[in-house]
Amino acid sequence: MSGDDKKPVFVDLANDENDDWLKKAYPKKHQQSIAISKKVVADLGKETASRAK
Amino acid sequence: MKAITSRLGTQGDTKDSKGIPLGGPGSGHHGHAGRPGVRGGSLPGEDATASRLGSKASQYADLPAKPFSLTKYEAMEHGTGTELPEERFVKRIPNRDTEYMSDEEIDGVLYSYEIEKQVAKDIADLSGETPECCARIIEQWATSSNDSSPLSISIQQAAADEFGVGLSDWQQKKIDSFATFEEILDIRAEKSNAEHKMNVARKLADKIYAKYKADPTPELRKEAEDAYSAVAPLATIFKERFDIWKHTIREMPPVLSGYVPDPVGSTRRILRAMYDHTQAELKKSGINFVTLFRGFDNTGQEAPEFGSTVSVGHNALSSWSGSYKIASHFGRYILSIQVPASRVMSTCRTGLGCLYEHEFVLLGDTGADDMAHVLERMEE
Repeated sequence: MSGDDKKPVFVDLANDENDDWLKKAYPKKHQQSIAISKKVVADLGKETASRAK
Repeated sequence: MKAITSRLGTQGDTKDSKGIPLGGPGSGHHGHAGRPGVRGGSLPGEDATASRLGSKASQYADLPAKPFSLTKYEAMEHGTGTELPEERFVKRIPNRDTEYMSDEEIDGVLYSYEIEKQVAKDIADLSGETPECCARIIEQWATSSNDSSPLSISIQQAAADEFGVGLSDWQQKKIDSFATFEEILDIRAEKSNAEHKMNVARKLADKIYAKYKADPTPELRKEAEDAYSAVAPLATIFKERFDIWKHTIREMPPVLSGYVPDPVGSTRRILRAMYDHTQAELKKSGINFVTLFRGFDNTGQEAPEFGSTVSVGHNALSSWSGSYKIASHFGRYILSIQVPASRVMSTCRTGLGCLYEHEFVLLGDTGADDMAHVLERMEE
């Protein structure tokens, strides 16, 4: 921005088409991360179930 | 693991704090009276559900992101100022070839597993929800933070409602095209109702038909025919309702499918617990401001100049990275900002966020005039 009279460029990150870039570039890593998350859910589910018994 | 007990380290970035009002612990309305007997929804004033922030109604509106000026070389060195400790996993840029994992990488996976599990348990303790449910929300965020996933957008919607921040127009459009929770429940009720009516009519017709078989009179035959023809339209209605149900069930929020009875409430309580937990951890670590990066390409937008200051629009929850390196993988332009800690909804150590992306989730569309500094991507 050069001077106060110039309006700054507006960058809309709301619908950033490149949001998935990392996932696309490193799909395996991303899948791995999801797999970890899924395993966490499953394990915690088992824990919850065994506590409920 | 040591890192689990000291989640955020101690390196606060308190530079350049002049003129930016500090949020207290938990920010804006810390210490508010709350809503007796009700969790969450502690934003005073207007109904947060209706808040699209046409005006600057948010309690976070006076906590704008400021541009954080530095060169790309400095950014490489600088990091975030809030480097998380012992991040073996995220210190490295994700390796493109994970076919053959090194011991270090395997350690990294196990490590991130432990962290995520611990985060889910922490949030469960604070929110009163099950660890499984908390992990499910974190999992959904890892899968997709926004995009076109109704499940993810339902988390964004819950955040908008809970924190009184705005949804972006893009998100609102998406949401308008999805079925609401109420609609989903209505459709389910209609489907079950139609199914019940159809079954009752069919049983009645079967009974009459059995009677006709035993005593084949023309009267009974007519009665059975009438009874069966009454089933047909009910079956059509059921089929219609069932198809709608089948379509909308895919758009249900993650926690609705058998996890909890009150998915919206649970999601909001979990997000609120994440926020409180994050704020407590940041405060404990003496962090008042965070410096964050986000990479983007200016697809279909006016190209900003490198080194310039731009104004930024976000979704209700907005992903940023504590690492310039990670951000630089997302596009040619890197935005660097400095925000008051009270804008941080969660970190990868305290709630939503991918560990390997060094992710910080900000309350995005707060109505604040967020400004960012534009850096160029460092060519590797």
